Amino acid sequence: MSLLELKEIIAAQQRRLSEQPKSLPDDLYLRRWVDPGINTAPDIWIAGNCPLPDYIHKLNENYDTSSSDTYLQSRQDNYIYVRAKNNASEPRRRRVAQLYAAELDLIMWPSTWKEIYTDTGSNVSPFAAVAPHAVSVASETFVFPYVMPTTSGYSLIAQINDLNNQLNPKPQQSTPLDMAAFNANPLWASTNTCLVPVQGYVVKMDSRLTTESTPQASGTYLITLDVKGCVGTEVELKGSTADSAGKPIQFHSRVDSDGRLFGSSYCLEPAFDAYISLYIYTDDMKKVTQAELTFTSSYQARSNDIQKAVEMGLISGDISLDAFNSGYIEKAAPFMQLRSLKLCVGGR
Amino acid sequence: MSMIFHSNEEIPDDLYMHKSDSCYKHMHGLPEWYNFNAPCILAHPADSIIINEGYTNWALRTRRFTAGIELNVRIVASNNANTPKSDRIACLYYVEKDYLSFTSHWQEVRTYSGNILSDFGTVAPGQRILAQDSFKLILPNNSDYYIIAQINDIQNRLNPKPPSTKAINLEKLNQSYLWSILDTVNPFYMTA
Repeated sequence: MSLLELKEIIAAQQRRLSEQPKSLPDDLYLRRWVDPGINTAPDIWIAGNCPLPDYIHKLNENYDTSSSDTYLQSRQDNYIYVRAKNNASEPRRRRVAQLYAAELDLIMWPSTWKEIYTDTGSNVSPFAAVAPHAVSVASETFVFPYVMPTTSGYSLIAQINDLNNQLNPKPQQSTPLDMAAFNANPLWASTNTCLVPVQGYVVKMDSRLTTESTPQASGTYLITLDVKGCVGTEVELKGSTADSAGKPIQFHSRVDSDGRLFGSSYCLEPAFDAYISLYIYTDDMKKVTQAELTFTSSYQARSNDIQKAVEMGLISGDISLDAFNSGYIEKAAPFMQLRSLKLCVGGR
Repeated sequence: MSMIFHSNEEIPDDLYMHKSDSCYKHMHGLPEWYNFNAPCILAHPADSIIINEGYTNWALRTRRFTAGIELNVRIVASNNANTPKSDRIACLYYVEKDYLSFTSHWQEVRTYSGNILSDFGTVAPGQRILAQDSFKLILPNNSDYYIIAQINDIQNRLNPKPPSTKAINLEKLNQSYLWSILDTVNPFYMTA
């Protein structure tokens, strides 16, 4: 059977299914595409290369009205969210979303599906307990990685499962999927998307931004990017989630001289955890042969906090008084551990 | 973490991948270190008769890299120490040519059993050996890639992958006997 014939069969199955009445499970479910020709699953939300700052609230709010109209950007991390509705008359707990990417013509072969991980490095994104008939957005952001080969496009496949992998396990088979049954199953949804190519080169690096889980770790942090060896390029920093006040962790700048430092302040709660992507955009790879990007997050202490810490003997007393006016304490840590921390003063 | 590369002058007292001179380098007047031919990376179509019959000839000069073709890749190493070495492993990556300097762009290649590493077993002094498992490599496009082989120990101490936030020094990387880099467009090398 040729690929063309297979495609025709799948299209016919899709047309037939779209005419059938839907039977929903007594559980969380994903909606299927409205128009089989377009193949969109409104519950797989592609945000492109910029994360949605307030995705839990926003995707809940527009559940009935909107689907993503964004394509994947090649050579960049792409942020994807999965949402679902509870069809049961009681709350559902311990439910998770999983996401896979398959090359456009290979969706019927589950062994070729590539697992997409979340910004915490997990292959599942948990739902909080979902009230009856409520909409919920899986809590972690899926990151479609920048290194995915540039093909004509991908099918993104979302799966609703439980933590024990019993509700709806991934098919383990060496024969092609029964696409009619697969498309009719509301615990699965798929959407086709293309990869939009970028002009020039994009060099990607990454890091994590985390804070301690102790209450003292809450506060303002200075996030800086020290850029060396890439004059004439543009650099960008993006966090997979916004800061605790909803401000997107993101800055983008042209590098016109060596040794530039970029940065901004962000409010972070204890146990904050985001995946940080650093990009260099260049028209010529020769400009980045010596590139070095150093990402730093510094706890921005209030001046009386530092003064108190010095008075209590928690940190060395020979720090210049300037420190009280503009002090950053590297790394987030409770004050009781300050003795081991480095205090950086002024002008950083 | 600092980058440690072993100099070209010193073969480590450990497993290493041997180097060979490059005809491509001489043809194009490239620097002495510009040897992206990696004779220790053996790559053949998975259905090749050489794979099925076992490797009888180490110097396989007919490597071809066509996109979409499943390649069976094996890594050869020798033990330069005067004691047996165990817990040594090989890893394999590929990267588009322009992105070689950036380890974050290196894509891991897995073995046929799905592991990211292939064990050498115990290697006697002076012994030349193939890592036990083959890597399964399918290059996605017909463009120029580098295939990168790494020798490391199971604890990731001997030769960790360099950190990803800076461009690496390609000259040092290429001179290291614990790294081997193959240019898929010009995979040819000279044998004595």
